[in-house]
Amino acid sequence: MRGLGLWRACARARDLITKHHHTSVCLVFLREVRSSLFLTVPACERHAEGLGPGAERDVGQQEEAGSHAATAASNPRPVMAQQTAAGRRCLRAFVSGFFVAVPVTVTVLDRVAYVARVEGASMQPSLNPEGTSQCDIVLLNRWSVRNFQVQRGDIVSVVSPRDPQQKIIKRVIGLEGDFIRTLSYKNRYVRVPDGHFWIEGDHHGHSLDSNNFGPVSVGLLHGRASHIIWPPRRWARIRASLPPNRGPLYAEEEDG
Amino acid sequence: MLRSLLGKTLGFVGYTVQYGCIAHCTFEYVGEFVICSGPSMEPTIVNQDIVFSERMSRHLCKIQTGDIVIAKSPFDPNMNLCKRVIGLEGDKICTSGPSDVFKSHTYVPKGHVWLEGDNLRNSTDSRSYGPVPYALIRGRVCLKLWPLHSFGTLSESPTRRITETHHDSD
Repeated sequence: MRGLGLWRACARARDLITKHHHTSVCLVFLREVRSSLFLTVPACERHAEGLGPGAERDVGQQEEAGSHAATAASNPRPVMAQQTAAGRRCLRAFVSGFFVAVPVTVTVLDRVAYVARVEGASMQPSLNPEGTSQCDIVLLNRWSVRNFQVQRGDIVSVVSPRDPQQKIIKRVIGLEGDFIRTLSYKNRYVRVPDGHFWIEGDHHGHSLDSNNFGPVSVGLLHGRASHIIWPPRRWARIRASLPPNRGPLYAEEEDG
Repeated sequence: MLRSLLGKTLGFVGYTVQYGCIAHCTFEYVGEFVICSGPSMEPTIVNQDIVFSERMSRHLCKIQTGDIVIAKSPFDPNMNLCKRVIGLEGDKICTSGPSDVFKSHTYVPKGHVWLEGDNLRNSTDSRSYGPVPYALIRGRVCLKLWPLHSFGTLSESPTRRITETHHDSD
């Protein structure tokens, strides 16, 4: 009886191959093979019930399962069928784990923390002090900027206003309402408008920053660099510190 | 007893985290429901309409001229705007109103878009604060869900601002 069912399945598949698309053939073939196997092997029928309709979906999605079942068909013994069921269980576990791991990872990267490599010389000497030979890797804290709260002197990563695909890492010099003495902007003095901040690289003249494109909207804020995590000997927390002669104007007046 | 309680609590927390993460990914990368308020998009979208905004075309940079988008306000990142994209980077835009005698034109800079409301008389948009960075766009409005009698896709711009600019660029 088992042999008859299998033979029927093979014949059916051979008929279908001449007519139909490959995947549908695979599906129909598997259904036939499974029904013939489960007719004769009651132990596997229990597995089939336990797996339920999800098993068929998995088989339909994954080609590997098809090859497993095909090997079982060429050598139809109960051991092989059990292996197939075990393989299916593994596949189900893998798929469900995948559906847990990917959203959790994406959410953590979006909401909590992000790791980024710093390229370019614009933040020397704070980041990348050795130039192009070694790139620093920083931890960007995204949880602390969820309400768009930053301090003057923080190193932040911002989506570049010139190119939405690119992110730039700069130091916050002034917040909204501050008066800034600019370095090479078209106006000598600028009042930072509401909802904007003024960002600059530490390496003046080698940095594409607010001196080129003006104040940046706070909505473009991506994260705050909180730690240098690579190379290991430079592992350090990044503290908010303004460069000595930069900052909003009233602060300079208070100092001098 | 204690162990089973602990296990149940841990399981509950795990499921909460998992579904929270799935919800975040859905809202962040697929789409979200937005309640629009304010008169600036009349008559396309009136006050208290519920629309569905999809996020994929923003992540894939597929925003086109004429799309209605939800964007963060450049002056208050916690506030959102609903406007129509009039020009992409490099487009020539007429910044003056339709009834003005002297037409003034400007070019949208790189990485920015020009947003205007459909209700030109009662809309604070790029004509007052200039072009908006592309990265502030959150999503493209693709479906109107409420009220039910106007369910469906959104109509074309009633203001002929886009055809005008296209004519100019030609």
